[in-house]
Amino acid sequence: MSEILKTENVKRSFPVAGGTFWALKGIDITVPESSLTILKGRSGSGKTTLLNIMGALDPPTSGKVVFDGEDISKAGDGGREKIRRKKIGYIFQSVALIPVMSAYENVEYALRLANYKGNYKERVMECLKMVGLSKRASHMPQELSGGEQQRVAIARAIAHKPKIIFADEPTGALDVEMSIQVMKVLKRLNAEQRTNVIIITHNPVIAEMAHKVITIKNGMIAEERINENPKSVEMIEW
Amino acid sequence: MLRFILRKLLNKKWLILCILIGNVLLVGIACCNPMYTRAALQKMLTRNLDAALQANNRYPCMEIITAKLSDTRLSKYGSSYFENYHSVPEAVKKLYGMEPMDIVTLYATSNAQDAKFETQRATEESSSFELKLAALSNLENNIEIISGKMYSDQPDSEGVIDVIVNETVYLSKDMVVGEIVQMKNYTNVKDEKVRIRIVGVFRAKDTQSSYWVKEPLRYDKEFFMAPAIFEEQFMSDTKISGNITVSWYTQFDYADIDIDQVDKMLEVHEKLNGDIVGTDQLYIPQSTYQKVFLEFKDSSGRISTTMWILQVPILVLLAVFVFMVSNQVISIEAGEIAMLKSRGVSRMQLIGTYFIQSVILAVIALIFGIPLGYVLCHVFGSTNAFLEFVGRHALQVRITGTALVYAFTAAFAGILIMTLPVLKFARYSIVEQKANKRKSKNPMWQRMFLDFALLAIASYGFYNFNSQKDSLIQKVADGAALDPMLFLSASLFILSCAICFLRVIPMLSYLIFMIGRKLWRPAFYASFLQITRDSRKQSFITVFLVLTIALGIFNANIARTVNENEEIRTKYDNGTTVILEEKWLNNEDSYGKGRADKLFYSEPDYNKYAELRDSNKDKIAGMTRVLVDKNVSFSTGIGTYNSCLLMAIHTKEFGNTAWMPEGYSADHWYNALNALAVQPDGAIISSNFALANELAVGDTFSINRFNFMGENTGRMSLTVSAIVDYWPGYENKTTVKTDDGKESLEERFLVVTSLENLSREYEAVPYQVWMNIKGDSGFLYDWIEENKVRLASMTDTVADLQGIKNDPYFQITNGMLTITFIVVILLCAIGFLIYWITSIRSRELIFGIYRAMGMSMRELITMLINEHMFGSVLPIVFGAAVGILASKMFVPLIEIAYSPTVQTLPVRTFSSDADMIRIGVVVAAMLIFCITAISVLLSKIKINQALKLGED
Repeated sequence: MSEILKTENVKRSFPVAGGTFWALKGIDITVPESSLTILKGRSGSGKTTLLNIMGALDPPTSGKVVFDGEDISKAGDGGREKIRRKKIGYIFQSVALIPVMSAYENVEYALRLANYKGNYKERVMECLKMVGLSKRASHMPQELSGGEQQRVAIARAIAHKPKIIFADEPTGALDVEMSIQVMKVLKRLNAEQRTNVIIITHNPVIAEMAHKVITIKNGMIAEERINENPKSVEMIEW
Repeated sequence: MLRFILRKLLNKKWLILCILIGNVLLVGIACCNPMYTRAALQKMLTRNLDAALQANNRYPCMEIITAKLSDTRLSKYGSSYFENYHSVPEAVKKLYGMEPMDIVTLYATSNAQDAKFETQRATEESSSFELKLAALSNLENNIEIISGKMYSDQPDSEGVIDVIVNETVYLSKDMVVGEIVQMKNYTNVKDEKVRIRIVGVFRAKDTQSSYWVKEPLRYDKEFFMAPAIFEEQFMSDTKISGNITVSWYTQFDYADIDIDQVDKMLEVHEKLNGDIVGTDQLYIPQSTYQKVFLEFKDSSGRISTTMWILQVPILVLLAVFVFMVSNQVISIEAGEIAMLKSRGVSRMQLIGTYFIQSVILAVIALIFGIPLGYVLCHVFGSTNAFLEFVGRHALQVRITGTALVYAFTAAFAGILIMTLPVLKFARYSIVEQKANKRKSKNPMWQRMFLDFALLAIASYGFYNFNSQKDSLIQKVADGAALDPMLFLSASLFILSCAICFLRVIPMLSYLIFMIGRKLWRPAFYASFLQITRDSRKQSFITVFLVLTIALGIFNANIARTVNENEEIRTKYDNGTTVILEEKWLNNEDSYGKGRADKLFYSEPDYNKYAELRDSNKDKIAGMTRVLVDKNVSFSTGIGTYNSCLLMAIHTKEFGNTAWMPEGYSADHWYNALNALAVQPDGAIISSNFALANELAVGDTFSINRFNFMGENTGRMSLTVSAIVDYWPGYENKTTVKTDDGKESLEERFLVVTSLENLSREYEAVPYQVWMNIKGDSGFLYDWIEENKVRLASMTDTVADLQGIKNDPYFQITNGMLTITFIVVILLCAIGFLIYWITSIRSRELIFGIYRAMGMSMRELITMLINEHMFGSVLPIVFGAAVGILASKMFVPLIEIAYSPTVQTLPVRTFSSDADMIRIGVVVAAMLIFCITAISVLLSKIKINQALKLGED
């Protein structure tokens, strides 16, 4: 099985009063192609720092990150921006649509940024359909419910056909009903489009759906578990 | 509770600081109005009284009661208003209720009486003369005896009364100390002959002392004795010796007269006048201040109205500013308010919280605002022109009760303005608030087209005033101040343009957006959407920017126009920088009395002027003789006109010396001078003369000149060589009093001819010396003194211009407009920064998303700059356009209030490039600072923090 993302001895430190704090103390992870990976861990364990580094938002202090065959740990600001534009999609915990743009425009904006070569309208509608919101394309964010907004965010994250999607607590702010909706979409994306998805979550039930579950503790990998038969959304009891 | 509020205040310290600045300025400017008006009026009153002192050479604040006593008058009028004449000073003092500086009583025989020295003189004629027997209260303390001794309080054993005289009397009569003078006819109450002994000669200790109600040397007939003797000898309750005049001069210190006392003093005088005239004709009250006070009252009304009118826009702007920032603060706290509301906090409690917060701010504003107002008064006092300050003698500014009332009123208004926005937010719970967010309708005023309605009203106001220009001029001539409605129309015009502009911005940006919809780079795409869809949030700052810039330019232009026109007018009316007219020796006196057959004037030496010019070539740019004759009549085939103006000049020198502003007539005035130079009998005539008499170049007419007695001194024929609209020193209209006592304007005609030509036909009469002086004219005053030049008149334009700058009317205008301008720029900068910084803070999350999606920092800044273009630069440009337009429309009308009735040169609107550059620099600095601040702010935003990624 080939891999989409691999980290080698990734370390990250932050200057703090009276010294240096090591948030990551040497992480080696392999994310296989077409997988759904879960990052688990308590607050302060370093999982978001890791996500930032894997997602090309932040460079590591030392170590290597190979993403899609390219070492991104050495890329500068511009290089990382380009990678984010073209190859990465983000989904955030807080509702993160651009308020002055309609659902359609929010999705389209990702295509603009990535300088997408295909037909914008077709692709936007395709993505909205995928998240079940094609009928609400012209609605403004404030006219949508929280779950709907998050689904538009997913549509936006996948619009430019990224290699990987990072989702940071995508259901954190949602109730069960909406969480199910969101997870269904993510799971289907992974299953049907074979898009790589990495999710940070506290929610243990979500972990049951993943191919791989990585637990971070004190900046180190505490546990790495492969799930041979991940459950579908329907099989999970919330 | 209080701790909660204080913590809330500290939390938003920058915004709260801005609100505080707004409130402090509001209080400061409001309370400086009465303080400054008062101080300026006080200064004006003191100055007017000072001028009256100089002009009349007597103390300007006196109540003079005069009693003309004689036997017949006493019997005729019997009992008097005053208990008796001894009680007059006390009674006057009591009526005024003020401590007088001095009360001087002067007793004197009403007429000069015949007297003669007892000592033998050479001739009978030289030993006889006329004198007035007199007494002055408290004389002993105000004089020094330079020869002889002071008089005694008693007649001597032979009944001879001691008297003293001043030097003039002493020297003119060739008398000796100790000599006895006998009154020829005058007797005392006992019908005994009066004999007086000259015991001393006095000199005033201090001629400037207020005691000398009449200059000491002007007592040129008075022989002074002790007042007690005077009363005892010549006045009894039943009998008066001849005619005696007693005057009581009650003097108040004019430098101490407070403007509050003006009304009361006038009232007391009126009462005295009414009461005495009504009951008793023995006494005649007379005041020296009445005229000054009445004039003062006229102009004080004008000044305080002007102050108000100029101040209202800035107060409104400050109120808007405070409202805007409070609204911003409360909208940031909207979520919190809604949450509290949902948790059961009542609406009244919420409003109460904000009310207390506002009160705290208002109290701080009072503490700083009142001293600020005090300082502002001094700033006003030292404005010389627009945005120009000098160290001038400080105004006597006092913090008065009225000022405190204004300050508290402003603070209270501030509280209301600060609490007002919370009413809107306190209505909704969290659910309603969220629901509300989704509704986005155009604001009420836009749906009702209130902006266009306001614009229509303002335009109508302009149209109305513009078509009634003449009646406006007439009103000002009758003493009215600036019409408040005119100023209001101008402010309304600016405001309505600003809010109309709000409709335009989203449309404009939408248009540009649609044109390149497919082409826009992501940064522009996002910013256009931001501008078109979120324009309501920007509306306040947009209106505010348009308002401030427009008002700044408008005010600057008013100030420049008022100042420049006044300066040009003064220089033009004078004709050049300095004009001297020497006193010529003449025989007007004997000619007038018929003792001389021929009137002659002897020309003083002109060479001294030539020498002055030669030795001061660097200071005197030009000098010439100009004959200005107002006793001239012009005759043409159509009519004869009196009271015309004749000017006789030396063309070349006049061209170098006289001053004419450029650009008022198409033809340069030098062309007229050149035409006159080549035509010996030529004349330059004014266009109104030409028009009324259908004269053209080449036509002839004649002039007749008259001497001071009105006798014709000769006729002369002249040929028109040029026709001009304006001429240095020429006013084309003059005011005449009509039969009903009103002033009306009449055309005044001008003829300018060559001095050489005129001198051939007429005897020499006094001419003026015109000098074009560069810089300070001080050396000229020294020269006049050194050379003992006796001047009949002197005009110094520099001093005249300084006089304008000291005029409270102009000072208030310049001071108020300067302060407005500075405050406007300050508010503009603060408002702008607040808006952008808070707007960026509130959008941190969105910026995080953009960054996460791969947008670079540069693109983000490009995006914000594009937003700036529409949100700030466009309103600034539009504001400048509105300001210039409003100036073009309204400034000429406002200028009317500052123009005199006779205005020869047409009023022009002036603007100063320097002011525009100032505004430009401040605005540019503001934009650069803002963009830098924003960039710094943006670079500090950590994407992960903005997005609240995880909980690390």
